[in-house]
Amino acid sequence: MATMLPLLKKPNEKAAASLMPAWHPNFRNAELLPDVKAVRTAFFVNGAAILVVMVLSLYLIQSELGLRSLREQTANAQQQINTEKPGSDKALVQFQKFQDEEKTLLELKQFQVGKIVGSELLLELGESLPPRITLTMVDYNGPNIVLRGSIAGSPDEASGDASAYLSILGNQPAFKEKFDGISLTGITRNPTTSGISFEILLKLKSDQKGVKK
Amino acid sequence: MSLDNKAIVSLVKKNPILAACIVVGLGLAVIIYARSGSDAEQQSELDRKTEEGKRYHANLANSAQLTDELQAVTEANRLVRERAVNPADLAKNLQYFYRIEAETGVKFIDLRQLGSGGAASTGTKRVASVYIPVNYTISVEGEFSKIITFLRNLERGAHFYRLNTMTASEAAGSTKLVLNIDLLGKP
Repeated sequence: MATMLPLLKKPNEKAAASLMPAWHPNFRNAELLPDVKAVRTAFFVNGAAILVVMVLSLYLIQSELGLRSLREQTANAQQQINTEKPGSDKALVQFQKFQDEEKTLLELKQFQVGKIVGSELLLELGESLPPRITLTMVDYNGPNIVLRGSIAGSPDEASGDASAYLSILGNQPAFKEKFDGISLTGITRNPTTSGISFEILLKLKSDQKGVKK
Repeated sequence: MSLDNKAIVSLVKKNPILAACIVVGLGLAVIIYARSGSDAEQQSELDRKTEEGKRYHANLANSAQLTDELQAVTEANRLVRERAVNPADLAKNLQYFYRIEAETGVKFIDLRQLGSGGAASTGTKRVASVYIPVNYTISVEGEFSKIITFLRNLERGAHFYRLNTMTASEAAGSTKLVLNIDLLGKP
């Protein structure tokens, strides 16, 4: 172990250097020598400090100007509110009254929904009536209209006339709008005359029962 | 401690610009920090007031014709109310029908005021609150053309009318008409 130590131990270089004599004596007196720095370090430090202060100042000025502008805009908005609020409040009160009046008027409209115009119906039925057919009853009961009548002539001809009348009713533009379906619900031989009696059902459209067109 | 103060004073004396900058910078930083929320608050207030102002402005703009419209709808309602019947005025109400009878030349077989409030009305809705339906059954007889005139006079008459049921039948050259109607009435 003792023989291994000198090989592992690193030689001390500092000790070797201190033992070494100086290359030449240093006669410089640093305190007495003139300052040869062109620009002092303090200049950079002061410059940087002034720059930071200036940046902060500019930022603050910009913020204050922005804030002032916002305050002016807010004051203008408040002025507009002060000018327009009384008129707006009055308009709101008027609108409330208008809504109440409109509601009342709509009640009239609601009252008139479901109105079938009786005179128009009778006239339209009269206009569409073929020569040999006579209507004895027109019954409007809300959802339906029932027509009862008689057809003169022999039963076979009268049956044909009844079908023809059905198609005439179906093709009437006014009836197409009002009715969902037109069907022959009864046809009987009339014992007193040689003709037939018939019954036709006209179903009003569910969405516009009796709506005046 | 006094040594530290002395050192600080000496440092300040040695670097007056740097010291002043540090003091001013710190002051500015404090002010900036203190006012950091003001912009957002002011912007928020401005947005709120702008929105409020827009709402008032829109109300004013939209209400330009409101006075005239309110006047028109109020006048219309006044006219409708004038044309509504009073269920209690039975004689006056029936007189309305008798006048139409006289004008058109038809003959009443039956005329009855059944009630108001829609209870007697068939297949009709009761009007909500301001008006009520006053129900009538009418049986009338006459020539077809006169019956049509009678119906037209009812439809275009002084009172608002609604047809509930109608039965028209032809017998011996005369037309018989049975009606169930509502007139717009005042409660």
